[in-house]
Amino acid sequence: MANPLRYAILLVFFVALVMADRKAKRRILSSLKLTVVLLVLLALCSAAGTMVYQGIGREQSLEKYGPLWDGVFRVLGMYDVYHAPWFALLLTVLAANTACCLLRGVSLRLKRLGWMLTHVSILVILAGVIVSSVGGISGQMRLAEGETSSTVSSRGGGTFDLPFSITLDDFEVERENEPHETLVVEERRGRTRSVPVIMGQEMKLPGITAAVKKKYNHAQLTHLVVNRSESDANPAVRVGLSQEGDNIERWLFAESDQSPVEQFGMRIEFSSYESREMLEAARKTILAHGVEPTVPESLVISDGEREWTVPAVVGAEGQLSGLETTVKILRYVPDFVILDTETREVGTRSDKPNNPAVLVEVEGESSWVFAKFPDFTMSHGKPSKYEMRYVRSDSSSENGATLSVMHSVQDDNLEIVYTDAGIARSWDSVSIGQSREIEGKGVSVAVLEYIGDAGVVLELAPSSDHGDPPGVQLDVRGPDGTIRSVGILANARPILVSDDAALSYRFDFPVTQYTSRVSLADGEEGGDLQREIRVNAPLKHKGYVFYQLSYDQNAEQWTGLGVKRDPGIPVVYAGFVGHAAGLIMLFYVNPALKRRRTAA
Amino acid sequence: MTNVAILNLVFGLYVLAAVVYGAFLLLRSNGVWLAGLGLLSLGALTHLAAVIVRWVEAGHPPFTNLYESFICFSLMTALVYVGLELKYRPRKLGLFACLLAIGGLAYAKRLDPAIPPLMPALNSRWLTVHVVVYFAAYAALGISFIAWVAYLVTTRKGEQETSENDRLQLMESIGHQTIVVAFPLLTLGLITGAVWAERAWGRYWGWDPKETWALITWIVYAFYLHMRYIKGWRGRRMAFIAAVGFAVAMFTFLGLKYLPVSEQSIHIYGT
Repeated sequence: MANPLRYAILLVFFVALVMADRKAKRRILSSLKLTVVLLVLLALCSAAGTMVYQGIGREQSLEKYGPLWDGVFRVLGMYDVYHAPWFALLLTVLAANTACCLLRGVSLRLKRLGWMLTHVSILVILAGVIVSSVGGISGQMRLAEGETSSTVSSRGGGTFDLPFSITLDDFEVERENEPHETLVVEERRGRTRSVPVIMGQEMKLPGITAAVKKKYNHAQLTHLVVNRSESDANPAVRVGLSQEGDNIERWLFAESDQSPVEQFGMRIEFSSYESREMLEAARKTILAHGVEPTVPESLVISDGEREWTVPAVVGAEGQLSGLETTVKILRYVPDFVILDTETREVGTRSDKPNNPAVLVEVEGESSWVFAKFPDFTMSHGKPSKYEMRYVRSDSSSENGATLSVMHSVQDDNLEIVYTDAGIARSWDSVSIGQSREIEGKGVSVAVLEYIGDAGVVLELAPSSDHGDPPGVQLDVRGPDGTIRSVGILANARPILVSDDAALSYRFDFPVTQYTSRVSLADGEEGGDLQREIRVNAPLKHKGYVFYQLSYDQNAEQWTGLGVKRDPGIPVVYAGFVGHAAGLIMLFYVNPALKRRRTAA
Repeated sequence: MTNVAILNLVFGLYVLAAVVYGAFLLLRSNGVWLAGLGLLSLGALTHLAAVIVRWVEAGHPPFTNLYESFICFSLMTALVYVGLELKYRPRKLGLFACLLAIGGLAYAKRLDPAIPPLMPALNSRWLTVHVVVYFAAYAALGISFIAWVAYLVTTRKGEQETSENDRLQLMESIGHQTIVVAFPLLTLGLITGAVWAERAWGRYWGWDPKETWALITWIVYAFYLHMRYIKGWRGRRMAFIAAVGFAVAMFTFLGLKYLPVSEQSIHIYGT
C-alpha cells in the first residue's frame, strides 16, 4: 500500500523547492500569498472528499452519479481524494512553503521560539505520516475461539506474518448486570424521549396518559376480544357449538363478513340490526331466499419476503409476530364509494359486497385496500412499504347450511335462524347462555356473550419459553376517560397509542466492554504470555499493536482484531507535543512576557 | 434525573440574566450590568453543578451524546463569557452571550435527557478532555462571532465618534482575543482526538468527515491568525473570516449529518 518511490519523489521535490527558494531573489515559495492559496486549496480539497463517496467501486459510483459526473470524478481522483497524487503534491508544496518560511525566519531569540516550534512541528507531523506510511504495516485478523494464527490480512490486500503466534483463548462481551429498559415515546410533533419503566407510574403523552400495568420476563401476544365502550358500534357475540361431545367457541363480528365460521358442515354468521323491525325483515328474507353467501376474508400483508394473514375484522389491532408494526383494521365498507370528492369522505353505495374494501392502518398511515382491485390501494399519508391484499374467496357453496345469529340493538333481542338450502328452516329467540338444538344436525348452539363495541386486542400473556422477549402491558387512558390495554413486546417497532404518540419498549443488557483474551507464543522462548485486548485498551507486543475492532455479533465466537506496526507514531506524537507547546508559548507565554515588559 | 431538574433552574437563571442584560442595553446602569453578570455567573455555577450531578448519576463523564454536547456547549458559553467580563468587560454583549447559552439549552430540551449507557468506544480517559476542550473552543468562537457581528453593526452606523471608536476597538479586541484563546484549544482538540483514535482504532487520522471538517475549521482560524499577525489585517475583513470560521465550526459540530456521505462516517451522531 505504501509506495516508497512515490514518497521519494515527493521528498526530492520538497528539497528542490526549498533549495530553489534559498537561491531565488523573489520570495515566492516563502510568501504568505502562497500559504494562503495552499490553505484555501487544502480546505477545499478536504471538503470535496466529504462531499463525494470515498473508496466506492465503479458500479456504485456510476449508479450514484451517472456516466458524465462519474467520468469526471474518476479522472479527478475524487473517489480517493486523500490518497490522490495531487493531494500529496499539495501537502508537499505546503510543507516546502512552511520550511522556506522557517529558514528565512530562523532565529534563536526566545520571542521566536513559539513560532518556530509550531511550524517545525507541522513538518515533523508530516514526516511522521510518511514514516507511518512507508515503514508501517497494518491489517486485520479474525480469530475464532481456540484458533491460533500468525497471519494478518493486510489492509491493501495480501497478508503479512507476525514474528509470533496469537491464540484466542476466550472472547467475551461484557454486559451490565441490570437490564437497561426504557419506554421510548415518539411524538408526532416533538421530541423522542425515553421514560424509565416504573410500574403504575402515569406518563403524560399527547392527549392520553399511559401507565405500566404488568411486566413479563417472557411474553407472547394473544388475541383478546374486549368491549371498547358502552355503545353498540361494533357488535360481536361469542358462540358455543357442540356436536357429539365436540365443543368449540367462536367470536362472530357483525361488522365484518369475515366472521362466518365453517363448522360442523354449516356456516355460522352474526348480524346486528338497529331495531326489531329490521331484524324481522331480515329474518323473513333469509327464510324466504336463503342467506347471501358470505365468506371468510383476510388481509394479507407482505414485506416482499414474508407474508402475514390477519382476519379482516373491524377493530382488530396489535402487533403480529415477526411483523414489527401495528396493524389496525379501522373500517369496512361492502360497496366502496367516495361520497365527497373534496373531503374524500368514503361511504358505501349499497349493502351488497360489490366493491368491498377495508381501511387498514399500518405504521400510523391508513389506506383503503380493495378486494376486487388488488393492485390499487388508496392512502391518506405516504404509501406503506408493505404490500396489502384483501382476500375474499367467493367460492363458498351457495346452498350450504347457514346458522345466523341475529341481534337487535333496540330491545337487545337475540335470535338463531337456521336455513339449509331451503330444505330445513327454523328460527328461535334465545337468551345469553341458553342452548338450542338444531333439528336434524345433532348440533347444539348457545350464544355465550354479547359485546356492543368489540375490539380485538392483542394482549400479552406470560410465556414459559425463555426464547420469548420480555413485554409490558400498559393501560392507556384516552381524553374521554376510556381505558385501553396495550401490550408491547420488547425491541419491536413503535406502536401507536394515540393519534400523536407511539410507544416502544427497549430492553437490553448494555455492552460495557469487548474483551479478547489471547495467548502469545514466541516459539523459541516458549511459555505463552496471557494478555487481554479491549476497546480503547490495545495490546502492545514486540512492536505490534492489537486493537479490538469487531466481533461475531451472532454467537460471540470470534473476534476481529486490528493489527499494526507503526514506527511513525513517536514522530507524529513528538510533532503533536511540539506544536501544542509552541502554541502555548505563542499565545499564552509571549503575551504574558510582553505585559511584564511593558509594565516594567 | 436530578440533573434535568437543576437544568430547568439554570434555564430560568439564564433567561433572567438575558432580561437584565437586555435592560442594561437600554439603561446603561452599572448596577443593572452587575445584576446581569451576577445572574449569569450564578446560572453558570448551577449549570456546572448540574453537569457534576449528572456525572455522578451516570457513573461516567456526561459527554456522550448530542443532548450532553449541547449542555456542555451552553455551560462553556456561560463560563467563557463570565471570564471575558472579568477581564475585558464587554458588558453590552451579555444579552447575546446569554441568548447563545439559552439556545444551547433550548435545543437540548428538544432531545432525550435520559442518561444513555456508556458505549465501550467512548469508555476512555480521552473522552472528557477531548470534549471539554472542543466545547470550550466552540464557546469562545461563538462569543468571538458575536463580538465581530457587533463590530460590523457598529461600523455600519457610518459616522464614527470617538466614543464609538473606543467601542469598536473593544469589540475588535474581544473578537480577536477569543480566537487567540480558542485556537490552541481547537488544536488540542484535534490532537487529543488523534491520540484517542490511535488508541481506539489504531489510526491517528482517517479522513473521516468529522476529522476532516475539524481540520478545515482549524485551517480557517490558522488563516485568520496568519492574516492578523503577518499581514496585519484588522477590522471588517477579519470579521468576515471569523464569521466563516464560526459557520464552519458549527457545521462540523452539527451539520455533518446533512452531508451526502454521512453514512460513511463513524462518528456522526444525533438526528
